[in-house]
Amino acid sequence: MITHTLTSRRRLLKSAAAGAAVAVTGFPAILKAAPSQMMIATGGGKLEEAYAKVHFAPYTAKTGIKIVTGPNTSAKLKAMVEAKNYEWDLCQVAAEFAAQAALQGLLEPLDYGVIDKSKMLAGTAHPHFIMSDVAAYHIAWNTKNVKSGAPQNWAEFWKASGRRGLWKRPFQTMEVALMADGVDKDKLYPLDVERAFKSLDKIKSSTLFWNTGAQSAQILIDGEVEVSATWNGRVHDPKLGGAPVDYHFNQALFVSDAWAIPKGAPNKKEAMEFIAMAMSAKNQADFSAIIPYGPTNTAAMPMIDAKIAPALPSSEQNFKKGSFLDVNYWAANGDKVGERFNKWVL
Amino acid sequence: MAGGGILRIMLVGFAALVLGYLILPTFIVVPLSFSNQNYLSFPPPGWSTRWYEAMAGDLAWPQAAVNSFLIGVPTALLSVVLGTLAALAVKRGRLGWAAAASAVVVAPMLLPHVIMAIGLYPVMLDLGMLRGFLSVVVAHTVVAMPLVFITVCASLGSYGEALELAAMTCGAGPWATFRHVTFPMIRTGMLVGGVLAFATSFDELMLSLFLTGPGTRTLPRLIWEQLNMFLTPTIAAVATLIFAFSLLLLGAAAALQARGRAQPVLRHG
Amino acid sequence: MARSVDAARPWTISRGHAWLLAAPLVFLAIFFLWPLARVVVRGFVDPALGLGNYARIFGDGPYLRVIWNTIETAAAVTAICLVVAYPVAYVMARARGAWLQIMAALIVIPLWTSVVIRSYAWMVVFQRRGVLNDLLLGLGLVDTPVRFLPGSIGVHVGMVHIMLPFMILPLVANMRGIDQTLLRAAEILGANPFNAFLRVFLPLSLPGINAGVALVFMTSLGFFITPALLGGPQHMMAAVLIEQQANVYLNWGLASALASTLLVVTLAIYLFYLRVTGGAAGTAIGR
Repeated sequence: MITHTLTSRRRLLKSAAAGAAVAVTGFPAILKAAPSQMMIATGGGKLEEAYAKVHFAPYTAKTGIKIVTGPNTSAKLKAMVEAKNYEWDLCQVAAEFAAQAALQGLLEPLDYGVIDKSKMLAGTAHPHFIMSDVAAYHIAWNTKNVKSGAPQNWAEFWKASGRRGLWKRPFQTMEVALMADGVDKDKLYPLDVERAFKSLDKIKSSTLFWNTGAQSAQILIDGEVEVSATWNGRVHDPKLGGAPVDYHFNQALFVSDAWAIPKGAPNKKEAMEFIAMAMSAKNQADFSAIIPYGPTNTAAMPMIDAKIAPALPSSEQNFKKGSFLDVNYWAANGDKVGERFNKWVL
Repeated sequence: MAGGGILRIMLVGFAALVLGYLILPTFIVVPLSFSNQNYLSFPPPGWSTRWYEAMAGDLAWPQAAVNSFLIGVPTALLSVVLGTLAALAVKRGRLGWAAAASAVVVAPMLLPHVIMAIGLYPVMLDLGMLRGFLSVVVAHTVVAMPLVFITVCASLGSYGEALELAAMTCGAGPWATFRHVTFPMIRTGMLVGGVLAFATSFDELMLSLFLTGPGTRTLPRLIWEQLNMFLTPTIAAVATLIFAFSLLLLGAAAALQARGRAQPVLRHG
Repeated sequence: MARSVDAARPWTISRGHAWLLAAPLVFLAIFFLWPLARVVVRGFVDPALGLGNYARIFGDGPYLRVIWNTIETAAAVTAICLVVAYPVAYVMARARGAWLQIMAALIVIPLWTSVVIRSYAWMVVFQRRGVLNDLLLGLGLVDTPVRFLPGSIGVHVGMVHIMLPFMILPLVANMRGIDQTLLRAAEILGANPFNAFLRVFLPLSLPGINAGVALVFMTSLGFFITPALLGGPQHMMAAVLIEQQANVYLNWGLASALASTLLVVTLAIYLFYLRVTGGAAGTAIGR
């Protein structure tokens, strides 16, 4: 029976426990391995609600494996792997963090025999993690403060009158500074750090450096800044709700969340199967219908409602406008560039 | 400073201003929670109760509030017991190394919580304490106990040892002396320390992120999760409900007191 | 009752009662000193054995500057809190009945509101189209909105708001224990109210002051979200930097070394403070 799923195995296991005959199962080893639940670390909130609907519920229905979740505090991954105690079976984390963790050997290699990467966008299927969505760090503005002539690219953003907002972190901000200085969006890496700081020098005094994504959305909504860089997920819903913000994807920097498995986690096989399912075209399309992050699996694109596509960074019309953040560059250089950035910003 | 009518009025006026300042954010947060929009804007463009309705259908918030309470109360109690013992020893123990001991007791306040979490996690693991509320209560007690220690030390420093000495000289044993002389003097300090310890636990995020599991989600954790997109009036609604709940508790306490069983001072954390 | 000589000696001054420290010390040894030891060691061995992390901290990076900023911000917040809290505590210590309860409620209730939410509420107050600017413009005091954010005013107002109960409550606890008859005695003996306050009340309230200062200063050192939301680059706090190293770059060696440095520096300040105040008046903590 090809369709012999984990659910039916589990039912048999239960009936075995109840004293029924188990001779028919034939998979004693697998039986022992199948966990009754899996722990997935996520950032919670709206994203987790979407995962629960799109991924967890179908996975549980198919396998009988219950999904529980916990906060994806980055440092905890390292603590768990060091201690060889695995609370998480898999995690959903920022791709740049996943790259950092992979570099430190904290992630299990993914089994691309189980996970199909043939239709993935270039560079999104890493040996140790797989990017699950495409968000964008882009230009946004307050429509009360900027009634016309919103900046069309980062160079104009640099010249915009009034105050602008940028993230108080080097990643993404450095890239944006280079594009403002005329570097082509496809030739950003390796970053010309000196040039980026020179570019940032020009706007330092008229820039509000914000710390958190929610803060970036709030200062845009409140009109505390004229223009700001932010992520599309932060302003998409407020804009629809009537908040005075608008944005576009020109020269956007694409960033992602990723699925990854802690090195040595015991339920590897089920975790791979989960990722395979979550990366399937259908799941990806369903996710993008709830959260305005585009799919990384190109096979999902045709399944997406034409009304939603303009809001998704990886849809056909938007994807060509921007470029991907190089997570490997930041994994290797983040600490050093970050130190300079922190010193510069002081 | 008896007398001095003008001075008195100025003092009371100043105190009123400060209390107004303390309560001011509440007057921002409450209207924010009745917004009809999905984003935070003050004053809200329109009014509705949709955020309360949304929460009513979501068990996560009441569950988190209960969890925060179930972590905060034991944390406060444990902190009061351990912090008071430490304060008594340091202030009354005639230790040559009192300064060193008090440095050890207060040091947890000085370590960033993420570092505490990194250090504590493997220890909790080795001790098999990671399940349930135990590990997070213990971790919160480590960071909250110094608050009690400091307030009780202050109470013990406020009056000399003469009273205790007098009691002992009159034949009271150590326990009787503590119960009838020392305890009444430090009671308020213990209470204040306990209130601050509870408040610390109630709003602690980083240790909770590390040490709580799927079933032990706390309020700060839930707020942290909300922040992964943008700010919605939900968090304002939560703050408003907590505010209303504390008013209710205070009202009940005041009503009880009015019926005669008055116990003075700050009872109403 | 055959009370031994030993028992007759007041326990309060007995060396033997150091055992009271046993429970808290055992607790702290397991759940603080042990983890702390791991952290300190990590600062010397991760990523490589040696003083590499400390060389970075004491090099020309941002670290010392941020540690200094942190101490400066915490000290400023502590000073403001003390000045603001003292008169309030004085009034509250003399209040009775319903007034006392209302004051206590107004001081304690803000403690239950998340610091994150309170910080956003202060953003609403201080932003360009915020409550304060509306008021100033409405009163005609300014013509164009004042830029409060990011800046010192926002950080201090926001942090003092959070820390004020930590100053007021220990002061009240202390002041309520001060024997008012001493003040009256001083006045009967000819001291004017001001002198009576300065020479009798103020010294007696020193333990409360010391406790409040210690609580506020040490808690402020760990501040995170409020300076991040309301403050500018000069308010970057050590906790933010350490969290970045621990959570973003997974550079636990440097994070540990930074935390150890912060701990040593601030503990030294604390012990120095104990020594100074211990010499001057009744000590809050230690002897």
